[in-house]
Amino acid sequence: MSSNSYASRGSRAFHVAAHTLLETIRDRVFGVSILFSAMLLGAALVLSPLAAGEQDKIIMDLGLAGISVIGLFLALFIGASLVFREVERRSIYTVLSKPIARDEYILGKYCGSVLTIVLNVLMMSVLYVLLVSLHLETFHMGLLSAIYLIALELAVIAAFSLFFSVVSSPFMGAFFTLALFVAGHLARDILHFAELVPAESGRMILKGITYMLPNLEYFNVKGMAVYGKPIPPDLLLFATSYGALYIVGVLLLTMLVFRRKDLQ
Amino acid sequence: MIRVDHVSKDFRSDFLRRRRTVVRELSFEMRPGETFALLGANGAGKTTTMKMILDLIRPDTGSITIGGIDSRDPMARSALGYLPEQPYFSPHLTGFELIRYYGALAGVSREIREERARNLIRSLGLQGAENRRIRHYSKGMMQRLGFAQVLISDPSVLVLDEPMSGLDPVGRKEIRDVLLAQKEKGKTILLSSHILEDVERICDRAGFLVEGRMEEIVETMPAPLPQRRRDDAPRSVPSLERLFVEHVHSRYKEKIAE
Repeated sequence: MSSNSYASRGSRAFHVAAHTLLETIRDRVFGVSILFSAMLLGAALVLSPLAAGEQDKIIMDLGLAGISVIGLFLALFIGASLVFREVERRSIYTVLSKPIARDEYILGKYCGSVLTIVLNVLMMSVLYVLLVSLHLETFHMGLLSAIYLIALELAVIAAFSLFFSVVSSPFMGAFFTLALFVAGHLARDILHFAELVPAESGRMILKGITYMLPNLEYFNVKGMAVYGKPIPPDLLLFATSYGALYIVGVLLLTMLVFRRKDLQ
Repeated sequence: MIRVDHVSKDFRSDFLRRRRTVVRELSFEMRPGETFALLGANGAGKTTTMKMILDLIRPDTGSITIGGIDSRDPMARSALGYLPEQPYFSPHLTGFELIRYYGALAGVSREIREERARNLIRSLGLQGAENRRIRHYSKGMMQRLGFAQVLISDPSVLVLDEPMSGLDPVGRKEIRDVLLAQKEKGKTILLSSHILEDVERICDRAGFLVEGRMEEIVETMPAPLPQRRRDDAPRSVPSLERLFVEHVHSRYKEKIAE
C-alpha cells in the first residue's frame, strides 16, 4: 500500500504508549487514585495538630508517603493487568496483527503506564507543593528531589509490574509486585539476615536473591527532605543510574519472555 | 500470497504438560486475489492456523510466508488486516479514537487515516456512534468496528476468523456485502466460517481441516439460491455441506464410536 509506511519503532511504541495513557486515565482506578490523593493530603492537614511542635514535619512526611503509596497502588493495579487483560480480552490479537514488533508493544505499554503514574505524581505534587508553600511556608528544593526519587522508584516498580503481567495473572502480578516493593525496602535487612543463616548453601541462595532485588531504599530520601537536609547531587545521580539500569534490565527480560509467548 | 508449508503445532495445555497436537503438517497456498475458506469443526485448528499466519502463535515446525516475507517479520503484516472471532476493544475509547489508533499502528499517515476513518464510519453504518465509548456498543457494532480496524490500512490481505459469527441476518448480510466489495477490489481473503452458504457465495476455494490436517481443498461453485436450498438438486460438484458432512461429521461419528 503506497499510503502505508513502515514507521519507526519509536513511532509505533509511541502510539501504544499514548493509547495506554488514554485508556488508563479514563479507567476508574485513576479517578479513585486522585480522590485518595486529595483525601490523604487533607488527612495530613487535619491530623497534624495532634503532633505538637512537629506539625510541619507530619504534613510534609504524610504528604510524601501519600504520593508514594498512591503511586504504588496505581503501579500495582494498572501495571499488573496491563498485558494480561489485553490477552484475556483478546484485544491484543488485533494490535499485534498490525506491523508492530512485540518489543515495541512492551516498550509502549511500559511508557504508557509510567506516563500515567507520572501524571498522578505530578497532580499530587502540585497539591502537595501548594499545601507546603502556602500553609506551612517551609517549601525547599529537597522536597522536589524526594518527589523525583519517588517517581523513579515507581518507574522501577512499574517495570517489574509489567513483567509479572506477562508471566502471571493480575492478582498474582499485584501480589508479586507488592512483595517486591516490601522486600526491596528491606533488602539491607534481608542481607544481614542472610549472614545469620547457618547453612552455607542457604546463605548463598538468600544472598543471591537479595542481590537480584532492587534496593529501593536508594530512592527513599523522605526523611532527609522533611528535616530540611540537603540531598547530595551524587545521591540523585546514583539513584537515577541505578533505577535506569533496573528498568532497562527488567524491560529486556520482559521482551525476551513476551517474544516467545504463544498468544492462544 | 500466503504460503503455509508443512506447519505443525503442539500445545502443552494441562497440568501434566501433556502434548496435544493442534495442527499437523499443514500446507496450502493462496493466490493473490483469491478468497479461501478454512472449514472444520470446532477445535480443528482453524484459529490456530490463522494465529500462526499472524505470528501470534509460533509453529513448532514448517514455515509461513506472506507476500514472500517470513510471517515472523512484522513487515509481513504491513499489508494485512485481521478480524478475530468476536472482537473486543478497549471500552474506554470511542470508536473514532480506536480506528485512528489502529491506523497509526498500521503506519497510515495522519491525513489519510482521518479521512479513511470517516469514510469507514459512514460505509460501515457507525455514524452517530463514532464519538461514543465502545463499552456502549452492541455486538453488531463491535463487529463493524472490527472491520473498520481491518480496513483502515486498506490491506491487500484479509484474515477473518468467523466474521459472521453471532450476527443476525441483517448484520450477516451487511458483513457479507463488505466482504464481496473487498473481493471485487481484488483483495486476498482467508476466512473461517461455519456458515457454508456464505462460504459458497464468497469463496473461490475451501479447505477442510480435520484434527489439524488438511483433508481436501475444493473449488467452491456458487449455485443459484433455489438450487442451494434443495438437497436433491443436480449439481456438477458436491455441495460444501455434503463435503463438510463427509469430512468432518463422519470423522466425529467414528471418534464417538471408538
